[in-house]
Amino acid sequence: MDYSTQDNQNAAPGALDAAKLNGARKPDSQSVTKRLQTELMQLMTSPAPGVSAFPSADGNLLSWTATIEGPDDTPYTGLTMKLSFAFPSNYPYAPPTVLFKTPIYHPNVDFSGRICLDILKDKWTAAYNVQTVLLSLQSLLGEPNNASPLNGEAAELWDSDPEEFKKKVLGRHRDIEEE
Amino acid sequence: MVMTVTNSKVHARRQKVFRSVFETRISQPTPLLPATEPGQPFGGPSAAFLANTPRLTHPANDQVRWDRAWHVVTSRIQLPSSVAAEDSFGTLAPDSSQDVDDAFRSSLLLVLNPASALPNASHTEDILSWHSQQVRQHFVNHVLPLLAACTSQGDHTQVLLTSIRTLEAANRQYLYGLSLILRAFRDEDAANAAVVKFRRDLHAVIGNSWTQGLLDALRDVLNRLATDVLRAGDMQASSPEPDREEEEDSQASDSRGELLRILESLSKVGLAGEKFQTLFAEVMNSCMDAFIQRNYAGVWTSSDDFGASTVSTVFSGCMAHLGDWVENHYARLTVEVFSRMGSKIEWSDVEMWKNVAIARLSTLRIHELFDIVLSWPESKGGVEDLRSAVTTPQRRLQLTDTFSAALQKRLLQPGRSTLYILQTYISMIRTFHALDHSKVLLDRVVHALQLYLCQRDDAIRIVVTGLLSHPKETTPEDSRGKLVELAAILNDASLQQRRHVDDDDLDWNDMLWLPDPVDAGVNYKRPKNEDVIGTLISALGSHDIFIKEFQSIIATRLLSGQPGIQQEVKVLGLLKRRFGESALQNCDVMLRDIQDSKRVDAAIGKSMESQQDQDGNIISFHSKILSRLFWPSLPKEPFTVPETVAEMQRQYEASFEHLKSSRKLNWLDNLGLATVHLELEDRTLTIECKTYEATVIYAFGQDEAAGEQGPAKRTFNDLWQKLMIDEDLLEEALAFWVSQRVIRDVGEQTYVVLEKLEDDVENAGADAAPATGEMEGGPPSPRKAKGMSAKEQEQRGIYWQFIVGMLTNSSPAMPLAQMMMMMKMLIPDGCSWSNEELQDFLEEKIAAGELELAGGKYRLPKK
Repeated sequence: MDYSTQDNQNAAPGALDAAKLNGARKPDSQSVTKRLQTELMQLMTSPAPGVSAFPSADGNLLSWTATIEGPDDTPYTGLTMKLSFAFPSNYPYAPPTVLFKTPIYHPNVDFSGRICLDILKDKWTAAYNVQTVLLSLQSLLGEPNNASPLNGEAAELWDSDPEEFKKKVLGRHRDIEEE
Repeated sequence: MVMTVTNSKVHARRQKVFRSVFETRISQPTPLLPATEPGQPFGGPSAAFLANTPRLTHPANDQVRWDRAWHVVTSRIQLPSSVAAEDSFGTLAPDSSQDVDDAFRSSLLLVLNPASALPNASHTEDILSWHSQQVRQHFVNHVLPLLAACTSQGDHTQVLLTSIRTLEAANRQYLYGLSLILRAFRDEDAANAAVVKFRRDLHAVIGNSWTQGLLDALRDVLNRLATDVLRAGDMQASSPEPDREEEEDSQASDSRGELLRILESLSKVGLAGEKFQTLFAEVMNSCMDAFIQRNYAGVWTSSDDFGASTVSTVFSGCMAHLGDWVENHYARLTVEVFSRMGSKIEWSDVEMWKNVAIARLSTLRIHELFDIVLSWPESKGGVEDLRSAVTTPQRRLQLTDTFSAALQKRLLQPGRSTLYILQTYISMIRTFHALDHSKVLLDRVVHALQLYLCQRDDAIRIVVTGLLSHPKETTPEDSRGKLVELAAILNDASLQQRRHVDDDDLDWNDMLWLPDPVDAGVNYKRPKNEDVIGTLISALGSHDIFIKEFQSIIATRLLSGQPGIQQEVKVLGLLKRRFGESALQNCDVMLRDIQDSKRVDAAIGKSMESQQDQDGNIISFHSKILSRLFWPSLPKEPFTVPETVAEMQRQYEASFEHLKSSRKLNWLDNLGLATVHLELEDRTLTIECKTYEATVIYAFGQDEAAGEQGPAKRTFNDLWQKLMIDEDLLEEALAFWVSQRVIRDVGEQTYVVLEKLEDDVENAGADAAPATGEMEGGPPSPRKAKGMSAKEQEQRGIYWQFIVGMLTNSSPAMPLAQMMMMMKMLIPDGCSWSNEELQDFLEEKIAAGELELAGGKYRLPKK
């Protein structure tokens, strides 16, 4: 397949413009596409239970949507959370930007969906991929890192009052209807 | 009332207009009394008497004399009123008696010069216009019906000849009357002027008297004669048989003579006017068409076959012949015809005809182009013709349009095999290269073909096998179904040499540089040579798919145990130049694996202690070591290999790991080849077979020591459990041995070794199922549901994951087209399904309740 044309279609408009302005395409922009394609294939051939991800409907390979099902034995059981992945053009050398799209009540997620997870920040390595990130997030739902909360109240309630926590979770949760 | 008034008014006005054009007041000839001899006076005083009557000077007498003279003259030149046949007015009145003539002459003098001779005659008329008038009337009343009668004849030549004769006779008659009048003219110039005027009038009348029948007849006759004359220029006419040539020449000159004779008479009677010229032009036009069609349709001989009779050196082959013909035959005939009619042909006209002829020939060639392509390279001459004629962008466009239409209609049909399409494509590449080195024309027509080829799944496979086939396999059976041409091209050293790395920079030393054609598209790049293989490969869609296919094909070939890999190396080299080293790295590694494993195998073989089978024969054991990552996924179907072999494998493994410490061996038992030596009661067989087949037959011989009675007998299930082999493979192996007549099926999935051949004969007679026949089709495996290959099953699973992932994350509901697009775009190898296949698949899923269809969009059911 001709990746140069593929890239023209799939690259984010902004990224493409930037590349044009720079006068030359980024040398590894092809490998981003290729890497993401491989990751997608991997997700499809060996899917992990409870998580899935797919590029967004406009065919832009640099922006994905993911779904996590709340694990059993956690306050999130039975809930479905949507997330967005935005891949930088130097992926996998930089982590993707991951946000919860579904409103979620969680010690490490703030009210605009931002996540505090080390592997999405300084602990990121190129060995991680979409699937590992999703699995980490899934386990984060059951075992929040209360040492560095984004949502202090949630962190407190997690430890002190699980009943109240669960109520808050259900109160905050809303299935988002897409498009 | 008002109506009638207006009507009469209109009528009067019409009369006035008519009169302003035609002289109606000219008196009618005096009525003749019946049965008077021509020239004989009737009724009144005889002409002789009249002539001798002393002249009276009385004005009334003048008038009377004039009237009498008028009467004498008009009755003399009076045309016969009734005609029964063409000759009835052809017999001219004899100049019978001198005295009658004298009387006539004196009267004529009076009539001609009324002013001087009879100054007092108050009413005089011009005898010349009277004559014209009467001729006109006579023509309309008598000759036209005759002509019409002529055209009713069946034969066209006859029609033409009788018509001409009739007209000639009429002409003679009319001119006779005129000549009588003119005798009295003293003045030569006035006489000539009168003749010219009369002739012009007459020709105008005759020229307007073309009947449809006559036109048809003339067209037919002209056509026949012109064709005969021009046939002398046919290609066959220049054949070496002198007799025929002379005969044809004489026939041509006969026709030419006849044509010119007809033409002369036509022009004499006044039929050579504008109508005739139009007709002649039409005839000549169709003659040219017919000539080109007759001589050049399907004639694509190359230019060497023609003599040096070329007039202009620009053209070759048929073009030269055509130019020659136009000049020497076509123009000659036209010049002769025109000179008979008193006009001349300019040289520029001849040049123009040449151009017209060449344009027609090129149109013919354009329409034939598809056939030319099909019969390439015998049709080189045709392409030469086209190349010299198709020079303007318009003609190039016409060419590509026509060819595309033909392509669509004749090639891109489901009925055409992919091989045939590819062969045609190769011919197209070559033909168009000969036609137009710039490749612009090819690019323009080839698009539809490329699109179509993408739908043919086997196209790449055929090309790759073609490339890899042995060029010396020229026997028809071998080359059938293969593109052996490609291998031949690949091995053609002359073609190889010309191929060089094309660089983007202009080669300043290239003395053959030409500017890009005006109709070249953007991104146009002038190709260096015809490059059949390159063009073909680039037409097959994306490189990745091609390379993948190539990889899997050479994988099969490399593992097939063929002796050499030169062909593969060569093709790989070619592809590397095209796609770059990195794209073909895997294939490189594959080839190196095969080469390396030979060495490694030899090295390990030396270090291993030789194993012996039960009978003490030394088993030779070789392996090919493949680097897993670089080979296409090979099916792994493990089974229990015979103990001796397993022992060798262990040894082999150990020495390999010793040799290359960081690598491990993983056996693909099912991919190997084995030579089996079978000793049966009445015969010994040595058979090359697959390893699993060998294992199965080995299982029959293994427990013989256990003291069984008669030939060894195994059931399907026994074998299956013992060997832990895939059912399909087991079945295949059993079928193989049955077909080799080593074992036989005794029913109930039980197989017995066929120790003696005659056992089988009895049996075959009994159940009437020949052992070989069972090979094909094979009974359904008892354990495994067939229908879908494992690979397809796996693919369906992956695609389903894709669809679920897509509907979960991208968009909860999607139409078919969008899903197809996403899958095509996101699956790295492209989606191999068509829209219909995807739809079928989705419908299956809907039926299974795993999917819903709402408003034309698919979605996952809510949990």
